[in-house]
Amino acid sequence: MRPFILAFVCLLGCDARILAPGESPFDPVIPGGAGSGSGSGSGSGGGEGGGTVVMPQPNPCELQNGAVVVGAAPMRRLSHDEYRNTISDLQPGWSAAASTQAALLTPDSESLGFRNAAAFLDVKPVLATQYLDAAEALAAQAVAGTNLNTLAPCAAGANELTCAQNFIRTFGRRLHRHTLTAEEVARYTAVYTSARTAMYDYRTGIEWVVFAFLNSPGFLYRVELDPAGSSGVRKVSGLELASRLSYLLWQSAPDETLLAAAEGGQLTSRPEILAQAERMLADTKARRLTAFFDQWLKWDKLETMSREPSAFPGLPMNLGPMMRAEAQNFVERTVFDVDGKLGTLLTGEYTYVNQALATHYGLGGVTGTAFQRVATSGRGGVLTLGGTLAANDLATRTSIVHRGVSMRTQVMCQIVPAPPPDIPALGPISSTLTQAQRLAMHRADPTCAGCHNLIDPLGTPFEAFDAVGRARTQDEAGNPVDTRGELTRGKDVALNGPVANASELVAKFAQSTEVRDCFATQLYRFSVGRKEENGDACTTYTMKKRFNESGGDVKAFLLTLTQLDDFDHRQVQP
Amino acid sequence: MKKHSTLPRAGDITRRTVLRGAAGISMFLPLMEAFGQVNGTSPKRLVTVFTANGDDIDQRFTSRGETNWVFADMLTPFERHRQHLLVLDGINKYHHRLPAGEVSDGHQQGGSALAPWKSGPGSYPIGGTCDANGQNCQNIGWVLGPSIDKAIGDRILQDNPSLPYRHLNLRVGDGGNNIWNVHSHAGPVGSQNPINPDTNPFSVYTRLFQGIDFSGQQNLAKRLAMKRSALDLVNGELNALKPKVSAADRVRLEQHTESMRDVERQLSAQTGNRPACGPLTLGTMMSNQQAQDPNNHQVVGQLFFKIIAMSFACDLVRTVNFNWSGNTSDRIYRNIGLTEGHHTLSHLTDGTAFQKIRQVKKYLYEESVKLHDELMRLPENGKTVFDSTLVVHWSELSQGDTHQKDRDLVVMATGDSGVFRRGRFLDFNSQPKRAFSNMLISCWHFMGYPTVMDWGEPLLFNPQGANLNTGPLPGLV
Repeated sequence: MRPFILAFVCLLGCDARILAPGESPFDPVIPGGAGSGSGSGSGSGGGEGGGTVVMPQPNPCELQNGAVVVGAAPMRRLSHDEYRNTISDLQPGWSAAASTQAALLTPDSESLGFRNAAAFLDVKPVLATQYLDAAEALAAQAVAGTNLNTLAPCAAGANELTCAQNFIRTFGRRLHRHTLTAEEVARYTAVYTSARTAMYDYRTGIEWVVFAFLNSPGFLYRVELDPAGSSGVRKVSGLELASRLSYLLWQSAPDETLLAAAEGGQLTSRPEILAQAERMLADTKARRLTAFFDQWLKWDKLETMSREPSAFPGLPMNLGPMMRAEAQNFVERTVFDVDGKLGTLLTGEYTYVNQALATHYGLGGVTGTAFQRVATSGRGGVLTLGGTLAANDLATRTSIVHRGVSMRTQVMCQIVPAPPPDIPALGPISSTLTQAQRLAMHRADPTCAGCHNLIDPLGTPFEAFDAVGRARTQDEAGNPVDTRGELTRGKDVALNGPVANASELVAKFAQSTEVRDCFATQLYRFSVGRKEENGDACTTYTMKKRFNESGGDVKAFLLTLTQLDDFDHRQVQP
Repeated sequence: MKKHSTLPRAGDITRRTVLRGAAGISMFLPLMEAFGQVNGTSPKRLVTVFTANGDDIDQRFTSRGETNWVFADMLTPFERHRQHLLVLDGINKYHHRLPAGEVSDGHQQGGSALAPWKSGPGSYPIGGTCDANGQNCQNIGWVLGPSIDKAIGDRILQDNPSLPYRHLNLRVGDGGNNIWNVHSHAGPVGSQNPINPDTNPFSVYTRLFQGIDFSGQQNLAKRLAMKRSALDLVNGELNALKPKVSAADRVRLEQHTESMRDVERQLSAQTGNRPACGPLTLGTMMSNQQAQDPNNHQVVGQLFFKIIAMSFACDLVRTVNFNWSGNTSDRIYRNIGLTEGHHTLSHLTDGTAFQKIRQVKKYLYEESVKLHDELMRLPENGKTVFDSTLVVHWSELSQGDTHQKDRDLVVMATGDSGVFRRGRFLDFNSQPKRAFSNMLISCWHFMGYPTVMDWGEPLLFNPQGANLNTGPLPGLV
């Protein structure tokens, strides 16, 4: 007979942990622990929730004794979003083709939730081939018909080599983000010449040049070259700053204004950097910040969201992509058109829906396909959006575990330990039990309780919303939903304690230093393409402190990032 | 003289184009024959076939004799290939021996078992460690070394410098490239270097046969000339950059250089005089999104099998890491009447749930053995391609609900390759259990590298006294 074993233990990877004799009950892992926060929240006390006590820590910047200490700035290959944006901004007429081609590139490795981690953005053979294919399509379109005359005009009778070199200088400057050196111009001229030598025409020569540019390391990588013999920390050059600014704020290459400022020596002081950053933040390209939220909260998964028709009959067409659009609208408009505050992002009782989505949610008064603002009641903020919830759910039901893990790891930045290699027998659990009943059995078992107590109470408050984002009063089995939960093991121990529903939980999050610091950390990771490290101690301390002082202003936070030591300095790497 | 024509756009292939391209292969063959040689000996090939979430340990066999074993219902799809099989029961991955902080959870580490190495720090918030003071916390990351498809592929390329592709890494659907969905790794030992899989069979087909003219010799020559011109430039820029960047950045530029070398070799791919090498009819083109659609998993898998078999017949590649999904897959197999996800089912413990798990696995095995059929269909040197191929069916776990990895089922299948004694059931449940790593060593030996004895992390071999039980699984040859 089969032994009945732990049921429903691992929907994401975390479940139970076997306690060693004498081992204390399970503790979550809080990265950074004491001292990693901004020091601005509640910082002491025991409390029933039993959170980690945050002791006052010295300001890490003061420990540096005036020295500039910054973390590593690895070379970064363009993410697929940056690849698309850079081409689109350089040649707006290529925008649609660039989007098509970027979508064909193999998705990059995810690390810490993001697809732009420098360490994993390389060019393996498959991607190299895909870059060739994309460049071939783009280059063919670039010179097709009358496009050539716009891209690389050459009057009848003019010297075609001169025309080609003019094009190389203009195009290359924007694509490589600096004025090409004579050596670089010669390299691309050689490509043009090889086409002509093979008896192809001017058009084909330009096509080959475009093709070569779109495969070139100078385009695909953001490289900051340290002068020979340098060591320690150095100032970042104007052109390097221009790229840092544009990829931080636009996820794209510098525009002409920024390049000209950099090359004209007007991008050196922090006020100059700030002025450019403010200009850029006002540009619609800054709204590409939604890409950060898209990856942080997994909305990109909604494009392929699949629901079991027998469990969810009659769903509108393209529900997943519509919920993604709703979520993107919510953050874009909240950051750029409302007040831009994290608190509003977490609790604002409104959303943006079109008629189909409004009907799906049971909201009235919306017609047409455009996304319009509507008030929501008893439901607010980015964590209760249909898309945020559904991205964690299963095809037939909600997932309390996935939702809870996502709060613990993505919103609170804590680590959940891995489950043991062999999960012990819990006893017979019928698959006819509801999710809530099964999880309750786990929390009643001492072996499983540690982890499930950590996860489940952060997932249950969202039970008032089904796996396609609709408000509900009954779960899949027809039982009344139980939305009681608890914030446990938070660093802001005064906030630990029970909550009646999602609104109460997100209200606690909105007051939480830990959540605010976590948001800052996540956005910092996205912006620098890596996890924070020892050399970032002063930077991350300062950014969190200023984020707090601004009342959690997201746009101000982006400006802050441009004003810190690590933005205009670079650790020379051996 | 002006010569210009519009180039075909890669990734924009209609069914007609594919068929036309396939026809192009046929027409091009006589030309290629001039470059190729038949040596009369087929090269060895390896395909790993992954199905997720383990199975049902107690419901694999009703009788366990070496030659007269009897499959329980779940495994009956293998029965018609019985004479080709080595059925290995009770293999242990020994991942629990890895120290905390160097092992990810059962699914993740298990899914990377073809890369038998520790996990590094870094990328995922489930798993990880802190120091005694709760400081210096580290997330868990990817495995720190290559998977067998890549490692053997590298060796084969050393010995056969004109082979176009090192390996193929294919996955049916299952979304993004995170630690749950990527099972192939580049290495070298000590580095986290996941290789993101191809998920669209049409893209793979186009790439594998990219050197074949789709629309006329002159256009092909022109396209190749443009690519070669760009390759020169890219290599020039890479070489100029490398001395100026940090050691860590240089590693990535070296990877890029290696990729360009691979691309260059692939552009020159010749299939030689291989009678079975010919066009494939793939049917209606799929977008990347369509290829990801769970409802299309069956057709995507079968297209990949056709492509794998033909790429072997054309000797374009010799190792393939094929995956029906990522690990932890929660795909709903609606086509066999299920309404719950595979992973979800694997964590329910009553009889009903296990019956459904067996139903999923039986279905996936039915689909998987069609790869054997595809390989058998292609003649080569008086035998078939299957006769030189080892297919290894495996999963990340032994069984899903317990996350255990100490009683794995591995089913090997090969034709008349003259390496393994086939048609046998080998029971490794008795102690000392043999390691998944021993099984991987057996794959190395099958592929013609008998001196490889201890590839992988030492902790993942089963120690016996003072000695590690390295080497291949006993009893296969």
